[in-house]
Amino acid sequence: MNANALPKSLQAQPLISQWVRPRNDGSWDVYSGKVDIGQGITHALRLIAAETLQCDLQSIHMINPSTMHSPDEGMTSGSYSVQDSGTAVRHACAHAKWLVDHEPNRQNIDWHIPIDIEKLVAHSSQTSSQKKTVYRDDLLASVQGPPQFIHDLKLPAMLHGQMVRSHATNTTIDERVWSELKDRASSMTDVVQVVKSNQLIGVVAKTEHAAKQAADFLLNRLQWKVDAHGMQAATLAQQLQKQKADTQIFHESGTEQAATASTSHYSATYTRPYIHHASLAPSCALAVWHSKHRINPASQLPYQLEVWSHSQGIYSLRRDMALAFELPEQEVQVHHARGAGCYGQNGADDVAYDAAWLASHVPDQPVRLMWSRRDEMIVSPMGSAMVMELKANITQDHQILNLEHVVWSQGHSSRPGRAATSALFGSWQKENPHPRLDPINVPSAAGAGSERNTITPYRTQHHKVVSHRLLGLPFRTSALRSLGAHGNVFAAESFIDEIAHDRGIDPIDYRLSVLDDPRGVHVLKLVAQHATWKEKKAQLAQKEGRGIGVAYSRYKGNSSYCAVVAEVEVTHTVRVHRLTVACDIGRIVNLDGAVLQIEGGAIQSTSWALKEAMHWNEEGITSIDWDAYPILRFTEIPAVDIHMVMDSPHPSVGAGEATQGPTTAAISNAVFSALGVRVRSLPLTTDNIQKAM
Amino acid sequence: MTTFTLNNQKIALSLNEQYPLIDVLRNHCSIDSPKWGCGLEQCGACHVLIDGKSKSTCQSPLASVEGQSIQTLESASLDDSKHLTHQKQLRALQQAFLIEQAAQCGYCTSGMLMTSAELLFKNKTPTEEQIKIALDGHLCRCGAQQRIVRAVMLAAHNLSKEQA
Repeated sequence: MNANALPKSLQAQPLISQWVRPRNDGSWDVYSGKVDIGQGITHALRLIAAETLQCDLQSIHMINPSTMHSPDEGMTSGSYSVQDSGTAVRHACAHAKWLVDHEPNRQNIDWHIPIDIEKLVAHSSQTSSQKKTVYRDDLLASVQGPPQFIHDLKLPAMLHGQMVRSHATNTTIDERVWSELKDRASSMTDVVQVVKSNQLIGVVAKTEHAAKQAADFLLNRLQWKVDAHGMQAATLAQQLQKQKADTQIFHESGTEQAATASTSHYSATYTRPYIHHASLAPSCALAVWHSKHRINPASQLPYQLEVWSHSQGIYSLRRDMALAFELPEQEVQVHHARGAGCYGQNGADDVAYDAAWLASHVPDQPVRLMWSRRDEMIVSPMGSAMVMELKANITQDHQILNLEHVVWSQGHSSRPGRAATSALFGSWQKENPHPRLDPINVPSAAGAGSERNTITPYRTQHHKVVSHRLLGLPFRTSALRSLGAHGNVFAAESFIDEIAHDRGIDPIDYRLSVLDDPRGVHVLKLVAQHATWKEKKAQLAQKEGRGIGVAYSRYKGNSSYCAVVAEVEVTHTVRVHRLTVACDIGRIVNLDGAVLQIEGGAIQSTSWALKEAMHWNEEGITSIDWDAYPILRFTEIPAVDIHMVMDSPHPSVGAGEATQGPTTAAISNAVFSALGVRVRSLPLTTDNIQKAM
Repeated sequence: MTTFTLNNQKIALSLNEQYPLIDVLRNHCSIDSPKWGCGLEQCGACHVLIDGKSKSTCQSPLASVEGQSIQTLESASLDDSKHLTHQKQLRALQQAFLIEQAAQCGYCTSGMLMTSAELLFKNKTPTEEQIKIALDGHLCRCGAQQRIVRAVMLAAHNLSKEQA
C-alpha cells in the first residue's frame, strides 16, 4: 500500500498511540484533533471507535483536544471530519483490536508502532451500525444544565476582560480624550487595569460586571476620528464588479460552440449580501501567562502562554498566537473547550488573541474574555457578499451549448495558520501591527472558496468559470457554512429554473434531461416522489400567492448529493411552509446526527434566504444586535421532511453543508412560481421583491 | 442585602444590587444553566423562572428579585419538592428533548426549557402553534426548532398520560 493512500491525518500521525491508548481497566482513550463545534463529531468518533474496537460506548473515553497531546488534524471544517479523523480513528482502532486479539496481555504490546491499514480490511464489523441511532450523551448536559461551554469555565483567581472597539473600520483615537478617560475608568470599582495598544483597547477587572461597566463607560465617551470606507449598500453589486481583483479562469471544459440562429441566449446576474456568522453565544476565551515556564508532560518542553479556546483549529491558532506574540510555537498551548454552534470561522481565534493580550498585562492571572453581542457582530468574520453572472446558449432541443459562470466575491477564508503573518484581528490593531490580510480562497482540491459549486453538474458542450477574488474591501470575510456554494448554487439553480420555465418544461424534468450522474438523478427523483411534486405543483398553481420550487446540487462537486423542494406562500412577506429534502451522503455513520445536521442546515439556509443581510453605514457595521439582524424565529420555521439514501455503498462524506445552497435556491424558485417574478437579489425581503417587480 | 429563594434554598447576598441577575446566578451562586447571549433581552438564552414566569436575567438587576422565588434548570435534578413548582414539567421536558434529540449545540436549550415549563404548567394540551408562539422570543441558530416543538408536544403528552 503506498503512503499516498493513507488518509491525511494518518500520514502526519502514523502511530497507533497517537490515536488510541488502552487504560488498565480495559477501556480506551481515543485522541482526535477534530473539535466539537455543536455538530456532534465527538459522538460520531466515539461510535466509530466503539464499533471498531467492538466494545460498549462507556469503554471509550474521548480525550479533549489540546496542543499538549492531540494529533494535529488542521481545521475542523469543510465537512471533512468523518472522512479524515473518522478514517484515522477507524484504522488505529482496527489495528489496536487486532493487537489485543493476538496478544491477550496488553502490557506486552508496543503501541508506538505505525498503523497498518491492511488490518482494517480483515475487520468484520465495518457496516454493522449503519441504521442504528445511538443518542449523543453531550445532549444530556444541555438538558440538565451543568457547565459544559467555555463560557462556563472558571479558573482559580480568574479576572474578567472586556474590549472597547469602534464599529468603524478606519479610525484614529483622540489621545487627549483617551488619557483623561483612562484615568477615570481605571479608578472605577473592581477595575484592575485599562490598557491600550494603538487601536486595541481593553479593560481587566475583578468581576464580569465591572469589566462591562468600565468598557461601556469608555465606549460611550471615547472619540474616534472616522474615515469613511466608501462602500455603498445601494450599489453593492456594481461596486463589487468594479473592485480591484485577483482574476482567474477557474475551469474550462469542452470546446466553445458558435451560436446559430436556432440557439437561444440567456443571461442573468444574481447577488448575495454579506451574511453574519451570528452565533447565539458571543465568542469567548481564557488565557494566562506563566511567569515561570511550565512543562508540557507529553513533550517535556516548557511553555508560558496557555489558552482555552473554541477555535476550529487548535494548532493553527497556536501558530498565529506564536507569530503575534513573537514566541516559539511550543511555548503556546491551546486547549479546546466547547463553544456554541459554529458554522464556519467565528470569532473564536480573534477573541483568544484579545484574551491573551489582556492577560499579558497581569501575569499569572487567568483572564476570561467574553465579547459583547456588539463585538461579536462587528468583529467576527462574515460570509462574503457575492455577485454571480450566468450566461448560456441553449439549442432548439434544450441542450446546453455554452454555460459561463462568473463570480465576484471576497475570499472565503481568513483562518489562522496559513500566512507568514498573523490572521488574528486584534494583532492588526496593536502597535507594530501585523498587516491586514485579504481573505483567500482555498485551492480546488480543498473544495475552493468563491468558486465552490461553480462547476455545473449538468451536461454542456462548453463550460467556463471565471473567478474575481476582490481585494482591499473594508469588511472582513471568512468561511461561513458552505462558503461560496451558497451564492453559486442559488445563482446556478435559479438560472436553470429560468431556462426551464422559459421553455415551458417542468423544472425537475428539465434538470433530469441534462443530468448524467445517476446518484444525482436518484435524489431528484426521490425528492419529487416525497414532495408529490406534480400534484402539489398543479394544486398550488390554482392558489393565489402559493408556489413550489426545486433545486439540486452535489456539494463541492464531489461530496453529498442534495435535492430540495420548497413550498412557499407570499403575502406581504415570504413564508416557507415546507421543505422536502433528499440526500445521499454515502455510508451513514450516525443517522440521527446526519439528519440533525441536514435539518439544521435547511432551517439556517431558510433564514439566510428570507431575512439575513449585514447592514452598514459610511463608518462601519450597524447590524450589531438581534433587532438589527433578525434571524428566523419559531413561528417562521418551515416543516422539514428529510429522506436519506440508505445503504449507500459509497464512502462517507459530510452532511453539514449540503443543504445551504439548494434550500435557498428552491425557496427562490418557489417565490418565482408563486409570483411570476424572478428575484435575483437575496434576501427575499419585501423590499427586494418589490425592486424585482 | 438582597434575599430571595433559589431552587427552594433561601439566599441572602451582600452584593451590588445593580448587578445583573445573570451575573449573580452564574458567578456567585454556581448556577450555570442560564446562558449569556446578548445582554439585551433579545435572544432568550438567559431565561429562568421567577415566581413561575419565564423571564430573562441579563438586564434585571439583583434588586428586582428581592423576596421572589427563582427556579432554574438545575432544580430538575434536585429531590422532589412541592416548592419546586415546575419540577415535574422540567423533568418531562428533559426526557422529551433527549428522545427527540431536540438540540444541536445546546446553548439555547436551558432558556427554552424554562419557557416551555411555564407553558406546560399553564396549558396541559398546547397546540404546535401555541408552542411556537410561546417560544418565539427564543433564538436557535443551529435550526433545531422543529425538533424542539416536537419535544414540547411529547412532554405534554407524557405528562397528561402520567396524570390519567
